[in-house]
Formats: sequence, structure tokens, C-alpha cells
Amino acid sequence: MRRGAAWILAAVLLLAGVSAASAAQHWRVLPKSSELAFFASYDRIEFKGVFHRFDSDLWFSADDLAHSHFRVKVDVASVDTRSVDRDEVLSEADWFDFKRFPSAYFTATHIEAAEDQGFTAKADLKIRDKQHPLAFPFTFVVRGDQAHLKAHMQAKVPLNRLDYDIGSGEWADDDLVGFRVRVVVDLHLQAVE
Amino acid sequence: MPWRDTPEQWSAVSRAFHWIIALLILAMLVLGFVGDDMARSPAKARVFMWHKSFGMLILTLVLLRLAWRSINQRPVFPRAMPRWQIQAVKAGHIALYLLLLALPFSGWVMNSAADFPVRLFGWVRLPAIVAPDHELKEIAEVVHKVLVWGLITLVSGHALLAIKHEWIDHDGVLRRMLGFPSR
Repeated sequence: MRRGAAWILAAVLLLAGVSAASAAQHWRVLPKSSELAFFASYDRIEFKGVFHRFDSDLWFSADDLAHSHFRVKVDVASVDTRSVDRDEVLSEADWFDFKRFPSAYFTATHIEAAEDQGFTAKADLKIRDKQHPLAFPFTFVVRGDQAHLKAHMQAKVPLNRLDYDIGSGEWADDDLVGFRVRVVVDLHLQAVE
Repeated sequence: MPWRDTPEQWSAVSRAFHWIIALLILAMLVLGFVGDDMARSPAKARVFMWHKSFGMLILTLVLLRLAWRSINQRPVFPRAMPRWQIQAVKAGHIALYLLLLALPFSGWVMNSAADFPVRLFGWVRLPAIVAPDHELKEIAEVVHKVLVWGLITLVSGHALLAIKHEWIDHDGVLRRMLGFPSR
């Protein structure tokens, strides 16, 4: 190969490599096959709830973790624990207080590879007017060919509801509603062009 | 004193069933009305835990009582009672038993359909008999509340008639259930 052509080829390859790496892949959530759920306990009996509505801004590439980040805004009024009585209590001022705090916010940055082909991020969660940092370990499995990239993201996050003033006042003890809540994230994603 | 029912006397077992269930019914009515009036809170949940616990206890006792009655001959009706009155009394008692079965069942359906876990007496979990279903819960709630008024009416009638038989007819039916010899 002539030297000029070799330099041009190297430059083209470098540019291609750089442009591919300057932003992580953008993903959108497939709502019908995704779930944002939590498990809490009432009288030591576990029950499940989901949030039906949430907006997410997900950028992730395993080979570009520096530019990967997540931002999720949850519509708390979309909570559904399969019990109208329970959901009505959750809307009240001592609980999520839908009127004053209609959204919960989750952001995750500083994503790093972790063991077992998983990842971990530094995350911030804000529910009501309480914001706390937390560790966010997750798995992110990409499948499909370049034209139809899909991914499956899963995470389990333990929380203490008192940290976010969920269930305060007369509900601030764990006689009935336990303090420990487990958030379970199970998202099927599609690559956005 | 015989431990089975005889034509003259109720056994101690039958009398115990009667009065324990009667007291539980009174407690249930108080818990139910007071609890229904409360705003949602841990205290209200506790009141209803007791209500549901006593309710399932009544259901158990009524079933046991019916089994006990099926293997016993009940004391005879007073000789002076006309036949139509005996038929009416039998119908009234059957209605009472039906209500005492339908009320805890409708409550159980309501609790299951509401997906509200409850530990009877704070201990053993009441299993769900239907899947969570808001409409079914609303229907069961209406049925339960209407039946409560049926029970209040029947129990009041039952008690008043027993008093009438004792103080006006002097035929000893109340004394018999209290354990005194009937004549």
C-alpha cells in the first residue's frame, strides 16, 4: 500500500473508532416486557408493587463506560400493589404524597465493570424530598445483531423506606409495614439509532 | 349431668357453644362498627385483625356446633307451643346458622379479594380464598354489611323471644339454655 493511502486509511479507521466511542449506545425501554417493581412486607407477609409509568434516559456501552449513564423519572402515582386500599394509603401524605411529590428520580453514573460480568454504578435516588446515594449493581446483557440490538438489564436494590420518609408518623415503626424494601428492575431495551 | 343433649336438657357442650358464640358475636359487632368508623391507620388494622380473628373463630365454632347437633337429639319444644310457632322457630334458627356461616365467608372473600394479608390472632396467616379483585371485594363488602343487619335483627328477635318465653310463657326454654332444669 502506498504511504499516503495507508495514512488516509489509518485516519479513517481512527475517526470511525473515535466516533463510535464518543457516546455510549442510547437505549429505550420496551414497556410491555419491562418492569419496575418492589417487594415490601405487611405484617411480615411480602407483597409486590410495580410502577407502571417511568421515563428513562439510558446510555450504556460495555466498552464505553465513561460515557454511560442512566436517568429515570418515576411517576409515583402509577404505583400498583394490586390492592386499591393499599394504593390509596400509598398516595397519602405520610407515604408517597402524590400531590406534593409526583415523581421520584434515579440517576446512575461512574459505571464500572464488576465481577461475574456485571456492572456497578454510583447512583442517587430521590423520593419525596429525600435524596440518598446508593450503590447500584446491575447486569446488562446485549444480544442481537448490529441492526437490531437488544438488551436485558436487571438489578436488585435494597432500601430502607424510612430513609425516604415513606410511611412516617404513626407508620414509622415496623410493627405492620417492614422497613426493608427491595426494588427489582427488569428492563428489556432496544437500541435507539 | 349428662354430657350429651337429652330431651329435657341441653348438655354443657351445647350450652358452652351457645354462649361463647353469643359473646363472640357481640364482640364482633363492636369491633366491626368501631373499626369501620376509623380512618386508615395501624390502629384500624389492629382492630380489624381482631375482628377477622374472632370471625374465623366463630366460623369454626359454628361448624363444630352443627356437627355436634347432628349427632345429638335436641331437647323437646314446650308442649304448649303451637305447631306454626315451632316451624317459625326452626326457620329462624336455620336462618341464624346460615347468617353465621355467610358472614365470615363474605368477610373472608372480602379480605382475600382486597389482597390484605392478615394473621389471625397475630399468629397464623389467613389463606386467600379468591384472587385479588377489586370489584369482587366491593360486592363482598356490601353483602357482608347487609348480612350484619340481618344478623342484628335475628339475634335481637331471638333474645327477645327467649325472654318472652321465660317471663310471659314461663315454659323454661331460656332457663334450659342457662343450664337450669326446665321444670
